[in-house]
Amino acid sequence: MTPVPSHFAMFELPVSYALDRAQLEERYRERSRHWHPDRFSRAPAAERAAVLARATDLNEAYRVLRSDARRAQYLLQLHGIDVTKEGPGSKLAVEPAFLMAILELREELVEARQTHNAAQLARLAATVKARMDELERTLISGFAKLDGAADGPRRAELLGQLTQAVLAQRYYQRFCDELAEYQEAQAERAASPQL
Amino acid sequence: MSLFQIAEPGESRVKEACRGRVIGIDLGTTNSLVAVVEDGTPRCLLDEQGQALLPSVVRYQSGSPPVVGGAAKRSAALAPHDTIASVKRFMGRGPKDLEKDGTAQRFGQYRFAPTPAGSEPEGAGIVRLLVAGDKGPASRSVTPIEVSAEILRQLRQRAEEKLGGELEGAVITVPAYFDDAQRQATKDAGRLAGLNVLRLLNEPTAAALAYGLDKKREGKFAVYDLGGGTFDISILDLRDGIFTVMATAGDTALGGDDMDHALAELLVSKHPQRDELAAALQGDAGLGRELLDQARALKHRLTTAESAAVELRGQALTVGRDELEAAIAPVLSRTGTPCRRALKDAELTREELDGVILVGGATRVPAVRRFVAALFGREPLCELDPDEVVALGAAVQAELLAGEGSADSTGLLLIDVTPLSLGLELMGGIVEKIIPRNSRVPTGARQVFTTYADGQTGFDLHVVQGERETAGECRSLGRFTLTGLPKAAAGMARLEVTFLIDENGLLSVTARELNSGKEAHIEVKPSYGLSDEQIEKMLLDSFEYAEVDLKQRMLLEQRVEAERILAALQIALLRDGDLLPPEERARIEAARDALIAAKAGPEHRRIAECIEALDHTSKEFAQLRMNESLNRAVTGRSLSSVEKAVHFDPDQPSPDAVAEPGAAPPKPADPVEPAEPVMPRPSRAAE
Repeated sequence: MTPVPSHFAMFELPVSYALDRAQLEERYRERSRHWHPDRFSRAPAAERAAVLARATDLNEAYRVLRSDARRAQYLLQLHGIDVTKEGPGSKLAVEPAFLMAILELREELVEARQTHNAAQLARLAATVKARMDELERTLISGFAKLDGAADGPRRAELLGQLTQAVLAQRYYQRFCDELAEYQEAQAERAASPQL
Repeated sequence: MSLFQIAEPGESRVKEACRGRVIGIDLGTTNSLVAVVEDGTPRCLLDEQGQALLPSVVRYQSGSPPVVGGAAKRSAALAPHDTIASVKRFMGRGPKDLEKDGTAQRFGQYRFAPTPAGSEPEGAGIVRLLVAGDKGPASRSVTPIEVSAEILRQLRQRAEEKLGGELEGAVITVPAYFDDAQRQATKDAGRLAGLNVLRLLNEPTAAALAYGLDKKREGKFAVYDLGGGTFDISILDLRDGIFTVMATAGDTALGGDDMDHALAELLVSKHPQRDELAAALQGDAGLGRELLDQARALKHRLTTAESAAVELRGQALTVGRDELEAAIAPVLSRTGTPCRRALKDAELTREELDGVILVGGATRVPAVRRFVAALFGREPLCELDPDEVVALGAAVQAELLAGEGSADSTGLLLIDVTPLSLGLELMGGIVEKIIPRNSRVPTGARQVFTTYADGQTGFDLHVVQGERETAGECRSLGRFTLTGLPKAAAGMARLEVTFLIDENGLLSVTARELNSGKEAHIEVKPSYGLSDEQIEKMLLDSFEYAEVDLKQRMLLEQRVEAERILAALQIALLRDGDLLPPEERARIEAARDALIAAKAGPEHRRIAECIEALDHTSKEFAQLRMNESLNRAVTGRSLSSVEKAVHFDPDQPSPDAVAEPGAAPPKPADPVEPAEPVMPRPSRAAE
């Protein structure tokens, strides 16, 4: 169920993972100027409804494209793969080896939190950051290759790899969120007068 | 909650006949103002006495129209039942809300009309106040919308007198945290006052607009808005004439009033007869009032003086500024948390900000300015009057809207966000967030629901706003009953529901049956759920308790998931268990028992791990079953008879029986699938 027009088409950007951020930003602002409901406050109701729908789609497209993770997910979705459907019993599952790795990291996180081991937490954060950077590189090169690949087993293989990378990215992101939340809660408790 | 107001005959007449002036109104809890842009500069309109501030107080009386403003405020003691102050606190609220948070007690002088018995769902309905009418005391019942309309009417008249002639429209400001019901109530009050409400505008955003226009500033700004009873923080990006709100946060139960209370306590503690005084305060509302008035006077004087004295029950008490600052320090530090959250949501550090703008009367206190300076690491901006800046910004926005006819694409534009997440209640009271807080408006979400029972023709949806994980802790916006689906087998009817939050922050809901394309009928039962304080408190709580909540939610979800998998496995084992070599079966059963044990525990992650493990362990088995079913098909057993055998297997135990293997005899003919949720898990259409 691909939305029409695609989020990329909305900004006349190529359907690609590589993104010119400045261009997206500029086009979002330019189109917002054009389609914001405030510009149509005197228009007839039907026209206002159309503009409101347009502005809503614009904001959604911008939200998706602006974030690397959401953009990658959306690209897979355009290829018929919905990573949000991941889970037990689904065809979309991460490889057991990866699952083991993330479980180990989780155990370490629990341990570090219990012992308030700041150094260990920092090490964990660095490890995950490095893995996410690597995934980012995989995504960049993978999507670039996908653009040039014809239909066939090579393409299917690439899509499989990209799906794994995006799924892994989701796991790591959740991990990072939890880590950040914990660190914030700690900072809040310390009640520093600074931000 | 209708999104597009159908033009009323009167409204269109006004529009055509009169391309009049547009105004901006700050409808405040304590004071209200009206402003207009003249020669490119916004300014507040003054009353006959040269005052910009109109106290937000309305006094009703028998045999004459209500009195609004300073006169009503000053005579409040004469007619406590008929003088309504702080009506903003009642906007978009139900009688149950007031009982729950104690507002009704705090406003004990008001007479609330009884709720019509039995007819309304819990928390629904609208607050009504009994005031003097033409038939004598308490003979008239007014809603907060009507009371607010009196204030707005007064401001409209002031503007008409000063500007000469009818107005084309007005922008009215609302606190950024205002939810759908409160916004809707504000808009209704404007219409009731005879105003064409062009737009509802968030107060901090209005303030930034006034600063941006006045100072031609560009960059990223934080607006720190500490009012009488509320605190708001917004982060904005001002660039190339576009004002983008990046994030907003706040606390509705925090403001100048809290400083007054802290000071009042200080005064009591300094009094020689402090114990007697404290005892007297218990039963004497008048003394409490006097004490708070003295505290407020002291706060104002200490803004410039290093020390000041007040008299309390015949005793002169001297308070130094340092004492005041120590007393209000806890109030200030509580504003730090929303500031941190807003910066985080905006994905900024304080160093990346270009300035901090102060709004609200309470920011006059020197300690507040110093606190903000320390918090953000820079001196705050306060060139504009903190009482007036919101109204000035509203006037700027009104002018922008009025100017759109000229198709001027270089003018200013405002892109705001929705302050609270919008969610749907799922089974077990869990909230599924469908529009996250700080999404740019207009914004929307589409969800597809499928029927879960044969012949089902409708759905009930409960829409809530807030950050907590369970519906009971969020603010209920309304219950939507969708009816008119064609009768079909379970899962066949597919209903697409679209939620839209417009540029005013107002919600609308539409639904469509996907197979027929037919619009479904929506019946809305708005509920006014919780109080403003509770919303913001909820927001804060959700931050403090996010982990507990999330855990709770995940646990509920994982347990449901485990239930489904265990039931499926049980069926598979009963049907095809004989395909498994004993050691393989033992491994699966061990994994199953681990899941059963985990499911009984409190750790959602443990359950998830066990589900994964079981899934992994039974992969081989699944493959065997697949082959077997192919074999069966090949050897002549029809698939439908296989299906039938599965569904009506008399030996099928209930999922509960799985929990304790061998303990209870399996109950016959329970449904094969675990019980479907009351509300199905929606599947996303777009994302």
